[in-house]
Amino acid sequence: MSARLTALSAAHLDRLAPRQVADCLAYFDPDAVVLTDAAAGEATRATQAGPLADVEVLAPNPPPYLANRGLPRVIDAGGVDVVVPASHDQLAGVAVLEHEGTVDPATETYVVSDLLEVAVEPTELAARLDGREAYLDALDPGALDGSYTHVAVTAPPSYRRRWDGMRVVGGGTPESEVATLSLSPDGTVCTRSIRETRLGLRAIAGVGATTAARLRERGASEPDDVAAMGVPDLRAVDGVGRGRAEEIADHATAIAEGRVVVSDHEGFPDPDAEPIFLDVETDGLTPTAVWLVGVLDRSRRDGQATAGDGRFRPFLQRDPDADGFAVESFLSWYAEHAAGRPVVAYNGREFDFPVIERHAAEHCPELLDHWTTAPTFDPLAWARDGHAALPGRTNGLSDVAAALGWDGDDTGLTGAAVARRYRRWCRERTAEAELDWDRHVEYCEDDARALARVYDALARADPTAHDRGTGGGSDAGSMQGRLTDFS
Amino acid sequence: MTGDAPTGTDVGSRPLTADELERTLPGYEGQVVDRIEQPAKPGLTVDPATVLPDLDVPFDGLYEHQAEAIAALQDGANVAVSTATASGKTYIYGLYFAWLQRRRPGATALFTYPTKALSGDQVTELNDLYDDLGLDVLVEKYDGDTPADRKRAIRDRADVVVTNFAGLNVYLPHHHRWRSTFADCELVVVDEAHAYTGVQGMHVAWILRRLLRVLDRYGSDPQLVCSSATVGNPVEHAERLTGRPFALVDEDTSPRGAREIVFWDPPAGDGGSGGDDPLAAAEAGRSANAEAADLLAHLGLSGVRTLTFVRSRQGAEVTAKQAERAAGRHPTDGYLSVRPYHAGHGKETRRGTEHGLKSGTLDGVVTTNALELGIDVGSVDAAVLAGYPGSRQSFWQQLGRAGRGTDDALGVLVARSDAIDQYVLDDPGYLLEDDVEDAVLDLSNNVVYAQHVLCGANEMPLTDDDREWFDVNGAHRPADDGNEEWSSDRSGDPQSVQDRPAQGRLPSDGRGNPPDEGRLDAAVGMWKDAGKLVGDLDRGVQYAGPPRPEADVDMYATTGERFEVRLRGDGEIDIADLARGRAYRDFHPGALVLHDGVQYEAVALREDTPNPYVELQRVSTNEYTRTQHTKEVTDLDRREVVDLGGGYRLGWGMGTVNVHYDAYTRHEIGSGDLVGGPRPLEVPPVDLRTGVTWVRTPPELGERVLDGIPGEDLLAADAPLGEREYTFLGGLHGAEHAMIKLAPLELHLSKSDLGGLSTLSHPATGGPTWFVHDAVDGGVGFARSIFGHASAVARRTRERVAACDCGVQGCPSCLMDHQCGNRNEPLHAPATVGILDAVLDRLDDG
Repeated sequence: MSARLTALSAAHLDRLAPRQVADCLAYFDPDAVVLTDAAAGEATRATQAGPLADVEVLAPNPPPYLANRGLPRVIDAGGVDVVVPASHDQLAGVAVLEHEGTVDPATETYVVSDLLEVAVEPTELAARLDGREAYLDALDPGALDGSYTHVAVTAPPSYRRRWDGMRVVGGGTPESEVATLSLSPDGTVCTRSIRETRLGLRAIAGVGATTAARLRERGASEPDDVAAMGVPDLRAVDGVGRGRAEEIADHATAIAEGRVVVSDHEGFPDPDAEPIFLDVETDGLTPTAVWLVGVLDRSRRDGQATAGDGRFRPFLQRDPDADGFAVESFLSWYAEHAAGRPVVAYNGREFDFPVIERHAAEHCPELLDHWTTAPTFDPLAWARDGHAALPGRTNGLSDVAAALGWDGDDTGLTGAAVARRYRRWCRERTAEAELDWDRHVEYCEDDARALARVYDALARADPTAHDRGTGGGSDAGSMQGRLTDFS
Repeated sequence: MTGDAPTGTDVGSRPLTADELERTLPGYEGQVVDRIEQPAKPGLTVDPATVLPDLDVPFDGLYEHQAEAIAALQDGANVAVSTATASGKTYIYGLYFAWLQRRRPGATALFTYPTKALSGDQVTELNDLYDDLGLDVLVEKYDGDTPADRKRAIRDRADVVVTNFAGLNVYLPHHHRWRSTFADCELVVVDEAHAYTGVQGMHVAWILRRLLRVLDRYGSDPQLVCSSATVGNPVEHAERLTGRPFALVDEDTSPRGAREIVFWDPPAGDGGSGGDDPLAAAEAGRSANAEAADLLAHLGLSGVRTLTFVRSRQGAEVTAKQAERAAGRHPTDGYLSVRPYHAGHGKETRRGTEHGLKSGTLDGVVTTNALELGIDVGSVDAAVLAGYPGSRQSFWQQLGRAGRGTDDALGVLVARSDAIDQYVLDDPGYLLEDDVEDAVLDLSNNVVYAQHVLCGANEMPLTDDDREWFDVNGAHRPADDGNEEWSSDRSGDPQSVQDRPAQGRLPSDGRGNPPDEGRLDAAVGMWKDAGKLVGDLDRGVQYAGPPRPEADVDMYATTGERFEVRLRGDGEIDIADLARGRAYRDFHPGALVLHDGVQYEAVALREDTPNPYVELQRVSTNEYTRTQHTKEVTDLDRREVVDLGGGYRLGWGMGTVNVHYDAYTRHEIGSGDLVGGPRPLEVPPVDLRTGVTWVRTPPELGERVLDGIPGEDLLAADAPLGEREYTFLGGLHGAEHAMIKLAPLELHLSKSDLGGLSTLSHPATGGPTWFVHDAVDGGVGFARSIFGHASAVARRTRERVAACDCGVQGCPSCLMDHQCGNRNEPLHAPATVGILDAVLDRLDDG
């Protein structure tokens, strides 16, 4: 349970077509949209909100005649209170809200404003939180009972920092992405974002801004429409050659029909070799610790027995000082029980595989050879290399697996949030900071099973049935489209 | 041949000397003012077998310096090779790597070059070398031009990867893909290392540290070779660039033909009345490019294959056309085949031009410094330099492109009216002095440093062990002297690094400079506060900002914020992106911009977009513009102050330079007459926190200096200052200008990255003072290097100002500067000389 806030700036509203904004809201399904700058507020007022008409809009920076009156706006969503003070005067009203019982001190309260700004002075190697003093004067934290997190819409959404004991979280917009914060009652804040290029028709691989505009001119407004066009029609679009038309057709079909479209199985693991599915948890993107290596070793696939024993094995390192324990345990097991079987990890080529290699080299060099000789396979990289198109709004594992019908546990936690928790555990080593290990093992297992689902879909797909369509719509998806046209 | 050829024209011989030029050039007007004759020099060689016994080297002999360098490398040293162009530097590391591979099969190497064109040239040369040696060594170029589908194969298979630093900057985060190259890397070469100075040098120095750090993690500790043209401080420069100790090889034993260097002073222009404005008169004079075009035409038509160096791409285009036109006017009435050459041309065009030179189908090429570096252009007979290229190192490098091997050659320097060109004309012997300019490289710029700390963290977590690479040379510690009346107001700074205890391994920067304890802590602290780093140095600091921090590194700027220069409508203009201050000053709306003889007006300056830009359109007016500004230097954080006694002080530190460009004026070319009044400018003030050097004199110096100046030579009073005060201020202002203009005589730096301020009394120093400051946020080390070479720079400055035969208010050849925000007022040459004499006395005593 959490409140979801999607941040939009004037630059977004300027760059994105209304359809893309609507698409973005459909993807995130936020409780409210936060306009991060005054110009965004003006833009929305001028256009009568457009695609924002049906969603709650929070503007922490309205014109002064609105900003200086009364108590701040409060919304209650996802089990938390979100307070949006538009001025220091309104910020001072937080105490009143607490006193009146409008905000619940028992759950985390989020204060969203543009009153705090992080500034760096690289010539001096120093950073400041501008507005901190006036903010603290107005808020008077000593007089408050509840726990508060301060969301600064001027800072990027990955921002997390304590300044004088004040939890400051970024609620702004990164360049060329749209971000959504999930604000939980226990104070956990997770950020998800989607690249602008994944909104609207640009979500289809091979479609840039120009091609998207040309496709719209031809009446295609959704990936389904593009899938229905087929390669010959796509080739008729200016600037689209045969290769790109095929790429577009494949991916549009994958998205529209919620299935993988495989061109060939070159480089795909041998169908007889049952792989192990791997997912790692670390303390960040350039990790100093790999604290969980989860391995799914299936005993059956498609009703057939496999080499595996059907277990999910978590190699877990609870002790922050036991560097390399998880990787070493995993590699020992692999060497003894699974040597030679393909190791599959989603985005493994960029992340999991080099991370395991580096940590093995550092902590258990005697096992390194077992790793460097292990066959590895990354479905995402393989698809990106042109062998397949994946469905889903993004290439993220959860989106792709969900598009394939996988109904996983929605933990609401992101890898970044989990990494933050582990770092806190290393730093503080208190009972309060200790992770709920079992829960994280479950998440990890869920991801490994989602990965297996994607892998199986790729393995099963028949390249010979690889039909990019000719515009005739031989498949259910576009047939439906045509029936609708006639109704 | 037409009948009106001037007498004395002899087009039958090949003019390769001053005498022959004087004799054969149509319409010669006495432009030759001096000459230097360099006799031919034989090469000194040794049997290759002495150092490479097990290689079948395909030449008769190795030059002694090549053998010496290879032997030093075999002894395990890092080697800085600093010899002339075409002295065989590539073979030093090329052959050494062949030797290395014999001993350690599987060894790999990274060779870096400053340009992609040079990389391509060298790949061919090196592969040919290994073929000739009969070795199976594969050399591959890997850069932005490498097709994506080739990259993996190159990374996995090449023995030598040839690349550049802009490339390495973006490849390093993907180091795991480079495992096979990095894990066996035994040699890293930095070719043309002298090119890495100033801002670009800072970036290269940090990228090299990032590279060495990553290589270290893969278990590689490669030897290093830095090759450079002749610079004053090759070892210091290499050590600063890499943080490693170096052995020096600088005795050039390659052979050389005879060369005559001719100093050429173009005739005074007739393009204006001369007017009251000497700057305007100078602008109206005959340009060095046009004169060089005439020379190129004459030389080309006389069978002398000629490379002409100009300062810009447009200059190359225009001068090439001018040369063809000049050939049409030439008495031989011949056809001249000339092409321009610069980095703005496509690869194929450039290859074609290079081939034309090599094969002899071209008579000449007009080039920017793109051909200064070692691209093979075959045999060229003459090099004509349109303007002094700004450093002796460049001067010799450009001249050296003519007369490859033992062929005789001609060099011509066509002087402009600049102070530095005139200095060289006054004293050509300067060019032959042993101590060429020092390459200036300064690692104290925190803006650049902090960017690379982010990149390093993104490559691998930063830990205490990384102090070896990153706790380097920040020069954080303010000077501890009580001599200055004023004291810094920077107190109680919680980020103050002096309060932090020294931790972990604290290496030096390879030159005996102390490590900058706590610099890494300060940078990590800042980025953690900014949300871009997480964790601690104990366990590991990780990058947590937006993806690809390395993409924010601009090799030519300290911050990412630059103004693009666009041309309204169709067409392109090759003016490099501008820093904010430069855009405000020279490209504000209404500013007239003269670029290679073509006039433009700035019509827009936009900075409220993600990619700020200025827009120009072509105009043709009889006017030019001057921008006025007010400037302050505040918050001086003194790092070093030398008390010279008697109230004279020389200082260096960080200061805040606040510049407000508040108005501009239009003037008529020729007369310099004001057209209308000052026009207000609406751009915000610019604050730079940057390096500042200052000279403070006692107040009574004014009286002493003025006593030696006749009353009629004093400047007219300018209220509230009386004539004596105003004249003394003119002396200080002149010293400031001239030191900036002439600093490149001693230091390899760009004067456009410097600015200044002069005042009769400054609150921070309590006396008459002139400041010279870096014009780059965070500093670029130029002001600091002037501090370090103050005596030599002041002496050169004094010589030029005293030798100039203009009036008391100076001229562009001594005191005047186009970039002056005070309309070059006041300036006073005799007072400048008097002040410099007094300061030099003190500096020499000290």
